[in-house]
Amino acid sequence: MRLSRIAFLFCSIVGLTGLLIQPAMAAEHAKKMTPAALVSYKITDGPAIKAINKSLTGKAGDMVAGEKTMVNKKKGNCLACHVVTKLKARAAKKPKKYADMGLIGPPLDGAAGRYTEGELRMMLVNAKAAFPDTIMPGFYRADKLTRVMGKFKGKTVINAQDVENILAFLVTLK
Amino acid sequence: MGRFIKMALAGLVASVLMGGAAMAAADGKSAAVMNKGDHPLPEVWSGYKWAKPETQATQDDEFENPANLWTEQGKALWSKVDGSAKKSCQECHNDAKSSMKGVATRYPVYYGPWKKLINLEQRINLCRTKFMKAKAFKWKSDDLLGITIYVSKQSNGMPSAIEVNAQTKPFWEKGKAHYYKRRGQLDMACSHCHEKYFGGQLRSNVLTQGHANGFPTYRLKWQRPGSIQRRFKGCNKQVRAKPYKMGSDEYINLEHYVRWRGNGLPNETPAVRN
Ligand code: HEC
Ligand code: HEC
Repeated sequence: MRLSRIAFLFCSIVGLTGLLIQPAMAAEHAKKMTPAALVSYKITDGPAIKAINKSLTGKAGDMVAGEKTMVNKKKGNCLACHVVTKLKARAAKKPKKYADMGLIGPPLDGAAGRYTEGELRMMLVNAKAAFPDTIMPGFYRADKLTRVMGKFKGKTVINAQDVENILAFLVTLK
Repeated sequence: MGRFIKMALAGLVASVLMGGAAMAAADGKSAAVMNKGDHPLPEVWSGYKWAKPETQATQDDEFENPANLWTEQGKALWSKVDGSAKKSCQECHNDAKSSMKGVATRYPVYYGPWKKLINLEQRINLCRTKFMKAKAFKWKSDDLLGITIYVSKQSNGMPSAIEVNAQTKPFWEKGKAHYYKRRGQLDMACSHCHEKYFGGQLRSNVLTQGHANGFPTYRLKWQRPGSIQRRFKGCNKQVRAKPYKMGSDEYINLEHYVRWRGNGLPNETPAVRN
């Protein structure tokens, strides 16, 4: 009885890591990121929501790198809120990154069928442009924010190439 | 039948306390409170509802609740003489079981001399500095957590009853504005997690309505109890927002507002949570 309770306490503590993006670890990442000015982009109307049709970097995205950024808890941490069914099998080998996918947002399965590439780019850059009340963070914006923690001030969660890389992965979700 | 009348009566009393909101069956800690009028939630639930069964059991077990060490420390402090006035809490308040009953359901309250709200911890520290001529306890100290748990525990089972009146309304408004304000690099408000998506799964955690009825709460992650003020800091940091200081006006007003949102929920200190 006692032992099982102790085991339970321990598991709960271990199980808690990586809830959202973790500030302590995230700080390291933020320091390494260059505070260069943000790439400018143009917002247009897509068929369903607002869109950014041109690549932010002019370079093609790398979907393998994109998946890494998506599951990185210090970066995209997309699985905190979204299910991606085709990634579920990876939980067997890498439970920390792939297990316990969140159910806050809709599953990303089929997202590329619902939205154009430009609309998906908009979602990543600043989801609020499409859904004003959304809980989903804007991953490539640093303006009009309130009381940002010192080490993240003026910085975006991910960089422009990260956006393109994640996008390369998202467009495979047909 | 008798039980029904009792419940109806309890509801009536509570609705008077809560200024119009009607209360449904209070079946212990997982009580749902049906709200009417201007309350943002249709039903109010303690975080207990979404805690893992093992966690609930740890909280409910009188002997295994890991906060017991602190509760005992608080109980000892109640009658311990301290400070240059050579007084203890007990000398002014006698038996905590009766004198402290219901206190935790009312705080934060308006405090005239400061012309603002104070929470329970601040009230306790005021008693220490003013009447006992003793040092104020630090926010995260075992002493402050212990005595606050001990005092708050005397209200267990009683419905939270924060009053919004002419004096407290301006502070309530500020707390409310704080609650709905997006902040941090991730740009989220309290309301996103605890109003829009409560019950939803964020990673392996289930979001609750973020109520304060179990504080100071024993957090398994902290391996010790923590105040509601500390919880606020944690929630701010999660969205990469610069937290305020514990006991700051911002957080005391927020505590008042958050506790008001939980009006009708039975007090359950010390709760156990992830
Ligand atoms: C804190 C929660 C959260 C995080 C983190 C998050 N999202 Fe979202 N996402 C949402 C919600 C909620 C919606 C639905 C829009 C709404 O109504 O707010 C959404 C919508 C979307 C959509 C549109 C889905 C559809 O088919 O309707 C895409 C695509 C998307 N998110 C991708 C991502 C990616 C990629 C990441 C990580 C880089 C991410 N999200 C991180 C909450 C989140
Ligand atoms: C990114 C999501 C998120 C945001 C934003 C957020 N919280 Fe939380 N909060 C959590 C999680 C996760 C927990 C732990 C599980 C739970 O109780 O919901 C929690 C717990 C709490 C608790 C403890 C509830 C209990 O039963 O023990 C309170 C109180 C609370 N939050 C208040 C707030 C307040 C006030 C704000 C705004 C300043 C806020 N939260 C912002 C995610 C969030």
